[in-house]
Amino acid sequence: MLNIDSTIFIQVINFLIIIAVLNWLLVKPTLRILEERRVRVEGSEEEAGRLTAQADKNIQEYEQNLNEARISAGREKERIRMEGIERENEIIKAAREQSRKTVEDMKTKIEKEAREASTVMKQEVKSLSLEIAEKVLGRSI
Amino acid sequence: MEHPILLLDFFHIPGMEHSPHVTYTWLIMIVLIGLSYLAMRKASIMPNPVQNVIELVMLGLNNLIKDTMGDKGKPFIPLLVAEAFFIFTANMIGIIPGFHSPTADLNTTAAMAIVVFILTHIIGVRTHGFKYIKSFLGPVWWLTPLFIPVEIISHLSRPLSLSVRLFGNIRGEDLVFFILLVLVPYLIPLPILLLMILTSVLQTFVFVLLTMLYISGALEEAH
Repeated sequence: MLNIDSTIFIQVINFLIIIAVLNWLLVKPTLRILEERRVRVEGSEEEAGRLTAQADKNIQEYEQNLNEARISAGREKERIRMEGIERENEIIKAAREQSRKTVEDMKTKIEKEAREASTVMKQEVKSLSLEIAEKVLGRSI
Repeated sequence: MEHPILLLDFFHIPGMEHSPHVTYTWLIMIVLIGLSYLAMRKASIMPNPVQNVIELVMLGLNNLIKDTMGDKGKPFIPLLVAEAFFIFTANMIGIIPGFHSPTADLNTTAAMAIVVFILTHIIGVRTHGFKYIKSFLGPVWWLTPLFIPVEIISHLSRPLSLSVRLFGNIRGEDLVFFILLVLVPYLIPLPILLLMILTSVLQTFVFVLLTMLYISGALEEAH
C-alpha cells in the first residue's frame, strides 16, 4: 500500500539477501562460465589459426618439392637426350668409317686384281704374239 | 485494494497477515533461488536448457551494463542482476490470479530505492573521498547557498521517483486489471494483460537503467 511501515526494513533485508544469494548462485557461476567459454573459443580459434598456418606451410612445402622434382626430372631428360645424340653421332661416325674402309678395301682389291689381270694378259700377249708370228712365218722362233 | 483471494493467506504466517508484499517477496526469493540452483547446478560450457535461458538474460544484462557503465560497472553486476530478476518476477507474478506483486507496495520499492540511494553515496564517498561533498556545493562558491538545497532535493528525489514510479505503475496496472475484470470478465482484459507484461518489462528496465545511471553518476562526480 501507499503507507510506509516497518515492513520496509524486512524488505531491505530481503533485497540484500536476494543480492547476496543470486550473486552466489547465479551471477558468479554464469560469469565464470561465460568467461570460460570466451577463453575456450578464443583458444580454439587460435588453434584453428595455427592448424591453418601449418596446412598452408605443408602445401607450400609440397609444391616446392613438386617443383624441384619437376626441375630435376627435366634436367635428367635433357641429360638422357644429350647422351642419345652423342651415341647417335658416334654410331654414325663409326658407320661412316666402316663404309669408307670398305670402299678403300674394295678399291685396293680391284686395283690389285687389275694389275694381276694385266700381268697375266701381258704374258699371254707375249706367247700369243709369238704363236702368231710362228704361224705366219711357218717356223718356230 | 488487494487481491480478493491471495494464495499465501492460507498459510497464516504470524504477523504477516496484512503484508502480502513480504510473504510474496519470500515466495519470489524461493522461486529465484530455486531457478538459479536448477540452472547452475550442473552448469557447464555446454548449457542445459534452463541454463541457456538464464545465460541469455545474463548476457543481455551484462552487455547493457557494459554499454552504460563500461568496465567500472563490473562490481555492480550482482546488484543489477538481482534487481532485474527480482523486479521482473515481482511485476509478473501479480498477473497470475491469487498472487500479489510485491512491487505493488511502496515498502518494497522504497526498500530497493533506499538501498540504491545509500549505495550511490557510499560509492561516491569511497571513490572521491572528501571531494564528493564538493559536488554538492556548485561550480562557484557564491552559488553554494543556492546549490546545496537544489542538490539535496535532486538527490532525495531520486529514491522517491524510483520507488513511486515502480510502485505506481505496478499498482496501477493491477488496479486497472481488476476493475476491468469486475466490469467485463471476458476477453476485454486480454489487451490489458499484454500491457501488463509490457509495463513489467519496461519498469524493470527503467529501474535497472536508473540505478546504473545513479551509480555511474556517483563514480564520475566531482571533477
